[in-house]
Amino acid sequence: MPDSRIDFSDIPESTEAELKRAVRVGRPKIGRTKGSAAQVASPRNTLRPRWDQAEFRHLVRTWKNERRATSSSVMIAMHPAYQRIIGLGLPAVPLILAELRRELDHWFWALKAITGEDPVPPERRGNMKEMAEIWLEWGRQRGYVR
Amino acid sequence: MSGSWLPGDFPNLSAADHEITSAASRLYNCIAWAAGDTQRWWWPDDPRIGYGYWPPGVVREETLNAFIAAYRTLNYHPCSGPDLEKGFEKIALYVDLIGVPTHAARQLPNGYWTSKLGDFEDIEHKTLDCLNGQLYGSPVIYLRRRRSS
Repeated sequence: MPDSRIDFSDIPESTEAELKRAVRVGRPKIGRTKGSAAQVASPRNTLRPRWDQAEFRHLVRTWKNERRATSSSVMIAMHPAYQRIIGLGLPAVPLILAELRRELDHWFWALKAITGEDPVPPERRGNMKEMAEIWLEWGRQRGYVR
Repeated sequence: MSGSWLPGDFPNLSAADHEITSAASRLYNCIAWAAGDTQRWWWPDDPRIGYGYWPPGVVREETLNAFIAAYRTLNYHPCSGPDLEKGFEKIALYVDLIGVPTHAARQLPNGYWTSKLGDFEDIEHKTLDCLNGQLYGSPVIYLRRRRSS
């Protein structure tokens, strides 16, 4: 419905003083968008981690120290510390790959969850050494692994 | 020597019940070890996010039927119980309180059992019950195949 057909008769008109105090909402008609919402959504801020390496290492230690004697990859990946590592997002990938290079461990679930990629062909699935090598090569090609 | 696992994982496992027979390894798990595979981590996780090996053609789900079907590909079939039978090797499958498979143990020719404990060590244990508890539940089904000569 166009504005011209809306009945505003029961709404009192704003005074000059009220109009001066009012804040414009919505997108400005000209110029660049400013404000906190736009800054939060910028690519630079999206990639800037809101955590440090100490927090990552703490989560890794917790996950390893609380590891149960389970064969279930699901149970291993559902550990709260592991889930929080996934939540650290793309900036954690170089650290995860460095961990994987340092010590073979169950990082494949997290890498798939964060990156949305799976460089491991189905016939290599389950082979921990080969999967690690494939992911490290994937990281080298993208500059995540030096 | 004590294993790397958390003490609370196996409250019924005493030093007299078992012997550690390998170093800890993340290359394989109990399901693989029972199947004779020391190169892969077997688990029927969702391939969209998981990474476990599962025999091709077998449904990938955490159910007893899926695990039985996985071992069927190696000629294991359900049998009546865990007692040692000449000429056969057996596998015991454990499930937790809600029926989700948790563990597999393989019988040795002497009647004892061998288990890989997650990504920790392999052990030889005298009974199946010593691994019972909240983590593994208890054995509910037994499979057997003819022992190769």
